[in-house]
Amino acid sequence: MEKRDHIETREEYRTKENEVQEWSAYQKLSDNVLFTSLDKILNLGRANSLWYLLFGTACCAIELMQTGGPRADLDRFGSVFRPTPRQCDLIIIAGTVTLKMASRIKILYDQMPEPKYVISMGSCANCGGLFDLGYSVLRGIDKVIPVDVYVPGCPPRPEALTEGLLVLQQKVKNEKFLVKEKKSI
Amino acid sequence: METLHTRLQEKFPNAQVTFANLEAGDHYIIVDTAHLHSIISYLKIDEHYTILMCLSGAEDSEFLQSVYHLFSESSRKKVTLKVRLPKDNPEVETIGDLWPGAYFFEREAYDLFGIIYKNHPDLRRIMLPEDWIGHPLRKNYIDPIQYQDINNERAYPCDVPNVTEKK
Amino acid sequence: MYELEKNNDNTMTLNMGPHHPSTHGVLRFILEMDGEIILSVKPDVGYLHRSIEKIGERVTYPAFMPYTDRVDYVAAANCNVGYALAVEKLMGIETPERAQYLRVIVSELNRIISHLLMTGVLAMDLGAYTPFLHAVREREKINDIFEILCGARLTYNLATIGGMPFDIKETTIRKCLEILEGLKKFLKEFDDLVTNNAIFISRLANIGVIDKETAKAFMLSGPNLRAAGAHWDLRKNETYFLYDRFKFDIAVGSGKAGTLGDSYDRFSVRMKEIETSISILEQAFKSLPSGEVQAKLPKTLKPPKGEVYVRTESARGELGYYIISDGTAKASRIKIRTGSFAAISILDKIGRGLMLSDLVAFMASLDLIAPEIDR
Repeated sequence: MEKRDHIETREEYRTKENEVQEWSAYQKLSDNVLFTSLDKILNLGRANSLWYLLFGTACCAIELMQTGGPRADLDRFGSVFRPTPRQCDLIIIAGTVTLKMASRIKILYDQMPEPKYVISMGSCANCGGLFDLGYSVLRGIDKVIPVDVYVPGCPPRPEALTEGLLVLQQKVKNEKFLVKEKKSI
Repeated sequence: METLHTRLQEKFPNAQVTFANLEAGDHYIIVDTAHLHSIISYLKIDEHYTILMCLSGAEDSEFLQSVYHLFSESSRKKVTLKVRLPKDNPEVETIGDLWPGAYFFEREAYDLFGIIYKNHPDLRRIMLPEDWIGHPLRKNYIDPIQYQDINNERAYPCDVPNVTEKK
Repeated sequence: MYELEKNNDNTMTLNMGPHHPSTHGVLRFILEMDGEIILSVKPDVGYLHRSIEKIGERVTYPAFMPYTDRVDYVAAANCNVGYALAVEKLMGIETPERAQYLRVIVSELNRIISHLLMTGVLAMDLGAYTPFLHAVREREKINDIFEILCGARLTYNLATIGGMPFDIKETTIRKCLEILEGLKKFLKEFDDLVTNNAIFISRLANIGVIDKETAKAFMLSGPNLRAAGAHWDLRKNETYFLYDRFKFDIAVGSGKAGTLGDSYDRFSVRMKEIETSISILEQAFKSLPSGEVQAKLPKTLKPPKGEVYVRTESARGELGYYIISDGTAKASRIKIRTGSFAAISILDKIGRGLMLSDLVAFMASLDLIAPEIDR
């Protein structure tokens, strides 16, 4: 709205009054009303409540615990741990996955409801890392389950894991669930 | 330790007890497989080597070994005993009746080296899954690249010389 | 996570893990139950068997150092210096005095944060989440010190064979002393919140009593053995790293809440050990000698033919390295004997007759860490 220095006629004065009323109504509503698409509003909710499975396999689990701790505080991004896979949107593969463990992780992943996301945390989960020379270590969790975000490091710092979560939130926000995918022939 | 060795020879005249002196580190006593259990129980009861520090498998060029590190709290002395086992039939008596904690260490040696401990109540694999093939800490072990339905190939070839893989 | 299976004779097989809601890593127990009472415990380990011992034969002696971090990631510094000591003994290397002091400092700092995590996790396993957050808050401060020293927070790789790769600065010492002062206050707070808490005591006292003879028969070591009443500390009884220069008492279980050797004793021994470590650290900072931190070594390390078994006192008990050298740059065999692996075998013996919820408390009080069991 433009500002006017002085008011000349009564009519003009009235229109001014209406405008002021409209403006204040808009101001009041702007905190409460949001015009957006349904996809965006769904994604906003999903991105800010990524509940992760309380599950760690190796060294990175300690850093995962410390990320949930008071300093890094993953809770402020709406991410809290759940002890059962049936309530989770996200599984953080924190640490080395051995061949003996791989099938169990697949079961845990299958138990999670759709849509579900995977963060692979640390070099071991990404590609085998240091234990590439061994005989019993899976060389990358992506051989078993699909991965959304890879966080490098051995182990990654809590800041790195937080960044990984933010990247995943970006990914979730850009998804479109209500539009049907075009089938490729 | 040399005096202990002579004492053992006097006590067990039929057993082959040899003392190995190496360039560096600890010395050890090589014991006959058949007399291992009686020698260790003699050491525990009469010589007061009451603590079993470690039990492990090992391999030298021709034999598999089962190694026992004993410690005496009263005299603060350590002794290392070894038995040499042939690679095709590695069998030795368990010492779990003297130290029940040894059962788990023996299971580990069985899993990783294939040493069979006689009279062990529960000799199963401990580290690796039941359907694993081979005993990985043996020198001629070949790393698997396929386990069940998981293809565990490397993205890049490995440049460490003593890693052998199945192709 | 829990699978129920009914057997014919009214008993039940309960499958606990491998994904267990507590924080000891991936462990699995197959329990045979009669109602709430445990009839037998079969631990199924190996979910974190990372073939560290085989890798030890494939890499050179200095290159194995980062792998020792991963043997016990909660007390990585203790594993580092233990391995360095073993190789030094094999090669006959003398480490400079200042480096030995630095090793004492890092291992005691690491012991503190390891015990802090254990006490926090024990409280969490019993259902109290707040003490865990308090413990992690203090842990972060000492993690910062490690970050200043070596650049890493968890897996340090902070020892070299023959010395230490870094030196400690005056400012770091001052910061360290400040943190230790804060830690003393925290311990008082923690005592009020947890140690003297009636619920906490009744959950732990008289649960999982291990007497001295059983502990020795099952090869227990470290805090678990001391809680059973044994005056045995490798730092004192088999001195290494100039530990003989420091005055400290061995923390031994007293049985003040119930029986000697119960879960509460194992917890309180660790709390006492934190205080012991603080006093050792203060003495070490006071009497830190000057000089070199690294001994002069040849470019490629080739220990002579031979073998050595060296044990040090880690946060979880005796940490032994059994190294066989065949005279080349790579070891012929590296066996790592850890405290947790010995402790897992006692679960069946003591766990029989406990209630299911007490098993979790008992297991947490033993301070099991999965990578140390599996390696």
